[in-house]
Amino acid sequence: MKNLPIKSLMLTLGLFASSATLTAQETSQTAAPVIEEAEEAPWLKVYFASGSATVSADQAATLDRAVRTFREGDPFVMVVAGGADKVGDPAANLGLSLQRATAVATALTNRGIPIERLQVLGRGNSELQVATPDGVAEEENRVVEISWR
Amino acid sequence: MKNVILSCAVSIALLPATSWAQEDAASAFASRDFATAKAVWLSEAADGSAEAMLGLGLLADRGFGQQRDFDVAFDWYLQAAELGLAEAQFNVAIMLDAGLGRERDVGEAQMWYTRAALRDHARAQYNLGLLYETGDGIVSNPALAAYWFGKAAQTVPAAALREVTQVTASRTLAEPDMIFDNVSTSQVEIVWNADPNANATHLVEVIEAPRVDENYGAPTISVKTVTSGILDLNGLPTENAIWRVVNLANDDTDYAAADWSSNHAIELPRGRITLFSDPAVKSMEDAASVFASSLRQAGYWVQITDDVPKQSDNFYVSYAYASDQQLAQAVAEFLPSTEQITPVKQLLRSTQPGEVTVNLSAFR
Repeated sequence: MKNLPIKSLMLTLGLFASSATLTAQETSQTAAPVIEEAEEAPWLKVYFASGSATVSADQAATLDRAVRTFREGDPFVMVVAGGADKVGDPAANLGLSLQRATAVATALTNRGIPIERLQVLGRGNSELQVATPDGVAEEENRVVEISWR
Repeated sequence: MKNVILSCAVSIALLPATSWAQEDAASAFASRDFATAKAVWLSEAADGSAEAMLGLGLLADRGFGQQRDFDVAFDWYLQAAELGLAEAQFNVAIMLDAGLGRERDVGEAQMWYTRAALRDHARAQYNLGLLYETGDGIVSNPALAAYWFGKAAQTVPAAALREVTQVTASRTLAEPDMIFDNVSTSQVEIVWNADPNANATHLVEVIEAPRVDENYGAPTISVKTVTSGILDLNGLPTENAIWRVVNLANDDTDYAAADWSSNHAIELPRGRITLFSDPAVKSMEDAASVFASSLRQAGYWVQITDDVPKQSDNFYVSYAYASDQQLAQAVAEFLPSTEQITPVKQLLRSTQPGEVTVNLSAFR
């Protein structure tokens, strides 16, 4: 086993991981806060229509509710991570997920969240909320997650 | 070796806090040295620093270097908020609005948002607009929503984009519901509930109490506003003042006032009476003096002046607001008259609410 090059070992692990059912709560890629607080939801999700990177009106309402929970504190980091479902080309989906995250980040700064607080990332088709085969539309994957630490 | 380590540890523990205080708590916090930040902030908070209290609240709130504790965070935020720090007032409002670690209390949240909004905290202004727009936990107030969005618009782009549909409510005249006041020589801050169904214009009056048998003066503060609070960081010349908020009818013909509040158990006036007297006429001056004395004994504040406004030139007893008609009538009955019916005249915009004018030179 230890003669296998690192790259193919990680590929093996990656394949293993994606075939398991992953839920949002089980994945914890960002450096999590020291203590997870049960009372405050660590994830805030903004949903998108297929192929779209525009924040719809009802999702804008979600953001309005969000700014009524974000305290004034400095510094803490807000991670805005975009995703896309597996409909279409993964390269395009990577771009789309980043566009979505940017749209949400913009919506947050428009509501007064200081821009220096934000990290924006596009996850593309990696680390999906709900594992699906290629080409399957899944609303839970067309999501931007807001988390903070 | 163990003894050396032990004595080192002891001497480190005994290092005086002051040497740590040299380091900026904010930069310690920024480099995630939460232990240092906390130590410095605790010392500064003990000296009354609101910013330090805010910092301590943040540490507990985010669980930085300690177990997360919403109650501890809220307590620190509240202390800083009471000292007037807008960011802390905003955080208190957020925790009450979001019901974090406590029962949701939107009424209190609204009050704290308003205090922060009065201090130009743009996010508080925006959130307050949202609160009034959705009426989520308080009575929806589209006029105030639009007002606060307007205030926040320069700093918060989303506020500039919001269009709030105004509702023409059937306005009734009702006295304002006072929710906070702090009136002193260092500041004047008064917050009330703006009822969307009541009239939109509020008059805030702060008047210095006259000494016994002396004229009362013009109000130190007399401000008309459409919002639900005022903040004046200049403060008053003296602590001996009374204040109240008055709701004015749209056409300015009437009002409904909250009760007078005061510092230092000042005797509140039953009304204010301006006596115009011509100083050249000795008998008039004497009469004015006698009337003033009796009226003061009856619990009214009186001012004697020779500066008759044009409007009241021809009228013996006049008043501006419909609710003051009774007071004017009572004063008229007290004064001498050559006719059976003493003229009592409503002249719009001639007096303050609760004020009656007596023009002795118009006496016939």
